[in-house]
Amino acid sequence: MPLVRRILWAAIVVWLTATAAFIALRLLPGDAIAAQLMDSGADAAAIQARRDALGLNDPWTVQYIRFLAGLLRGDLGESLNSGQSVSELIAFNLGPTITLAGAALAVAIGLGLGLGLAAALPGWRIVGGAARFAISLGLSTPIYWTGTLAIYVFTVQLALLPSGGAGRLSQLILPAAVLGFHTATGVARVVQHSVQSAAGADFVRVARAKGLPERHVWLRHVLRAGLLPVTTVIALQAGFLLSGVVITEALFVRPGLGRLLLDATLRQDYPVVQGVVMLTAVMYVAVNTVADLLNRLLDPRVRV
Amino acid sequence: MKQPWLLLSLALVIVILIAPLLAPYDPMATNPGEALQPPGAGHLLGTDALGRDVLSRVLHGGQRTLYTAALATVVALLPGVGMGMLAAAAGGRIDAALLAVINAWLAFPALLLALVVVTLLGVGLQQVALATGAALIPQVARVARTAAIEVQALPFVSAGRAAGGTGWWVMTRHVLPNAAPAIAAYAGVTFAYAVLNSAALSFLGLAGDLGVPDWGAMLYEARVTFRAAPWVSIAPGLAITCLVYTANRAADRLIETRQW
Repeated sequence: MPLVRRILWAAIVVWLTATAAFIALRLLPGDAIAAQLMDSGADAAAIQARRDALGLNDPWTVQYIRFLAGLLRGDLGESLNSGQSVSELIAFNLGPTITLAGAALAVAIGLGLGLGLAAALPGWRIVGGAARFAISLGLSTPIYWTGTLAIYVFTVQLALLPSGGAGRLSQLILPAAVLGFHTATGVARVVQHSVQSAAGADFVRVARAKGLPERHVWLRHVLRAGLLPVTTVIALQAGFLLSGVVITEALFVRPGLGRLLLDATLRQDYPVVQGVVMLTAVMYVAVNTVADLLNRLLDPRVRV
Repeated sequence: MKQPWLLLSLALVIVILIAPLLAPYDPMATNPGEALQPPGAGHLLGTDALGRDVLSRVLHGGQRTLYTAALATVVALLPGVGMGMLAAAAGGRIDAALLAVINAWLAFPALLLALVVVTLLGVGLQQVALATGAALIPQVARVARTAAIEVQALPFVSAGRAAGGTGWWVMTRHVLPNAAPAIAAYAGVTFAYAVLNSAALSFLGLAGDLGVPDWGAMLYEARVTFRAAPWVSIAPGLAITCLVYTANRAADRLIETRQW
């Protein structure tokens, strides 16, 4: 049962991630959380009460079971700074991030396929060269720098688009384009290599030997085989997208999960960091599992 | 000239190492009277908000970027290669268990893992290097494991075993040296990622107060004034792109030539 096994593995990976997050939090020097509370002006008795309330004085095993049980209920604890529940904070920030990631993914798929095909198809010398250069450049340029340049050109010089905030469509265009472009170059490189290697495969030589017209060879044989890995790449790029969201949201001053995570990191708000990381790990594993299963469906060679 | 990009990367590293000697000004010397001057005769790449010379700062900052990325590469390579070789040598259940760990590790997007490390260890340059390197370990482990498994299938490895070699001896004398070219080529890719990712962490303000900043932290500082003075951002960004681009090309070339 490959389906059951695949889902079981995904569950194990998520469990390992959760355990790693739990251990990391307990590895902290014992009074890091107390120090955190001291900064916000609590006295020793209040800190002790807080530690009791957070269950930090219980044995590890009890804490671990409680942590896993909380996860199953969707309870991720409370922010050390505001006392708000982490689940609520995440729910509040999820919308803008999903909008940004979704728009960027759409750009990445369209642009990635376009660039990758332009780089791989024969006969397009200048376009192909330009596409290959754009791909290498996109893979070597820091996203925070392209973003800065984009703001300079489109906001400062041309005064066309706003550079920050969220909610309106015009505020989405720049961050989605920048994040999408960088994600697209990763997709494009794999599309290019995959199509090129499919073009040299034996079944393509056979198709040509049968006397099929070149158009037909490319459309029916090369592209069909060459574009299969695209689902996998897009799933793998989800990780890049999640990291990119942190930087893009910081650069374009957008609310969202990335900002929440970054602020929590700088303030050492451990439960919030742990909650967001858990959520992204689950999303990443889910996307990859779905892509894997989809691939089995599309490609008869992978079905075992 | 079989490896032009490799030579170019080495040349770039040497340039970065001697660059501080070429700097026309003290990178830390502030001069409020000359703040935010555009590129020109006095300051070839202009000045920043405190009147510091951008060219001198880029020339000095390269060493920190290089140091952080190199340290991160070592942090990624040593345990990564160790894990990969162990998985390949042990096989069976140990291999499957290690592979599960590697996959779980990969499920953590690199930047998120880095943010967790910085949350635990605090803000700083070494922390950034450690965080960047730790996030790159599973990729290295996967490449090293694949390379070792390929080499293990070759006849001289069985010959070494047949001659009575112990597992450790066969791995260090036969498998590792022959898997090394593939691993070295991937080290170039790892270094390129390390430059981008460590600079990204600096850009997010996680490198702390550095004195002379690295290129990522320079971009972080330039954020405030880039609307009026884009040149403060353009120079360090371009420097990062050049370094990553040459490292990537050198690695690509190494990977290609190995295949023939």
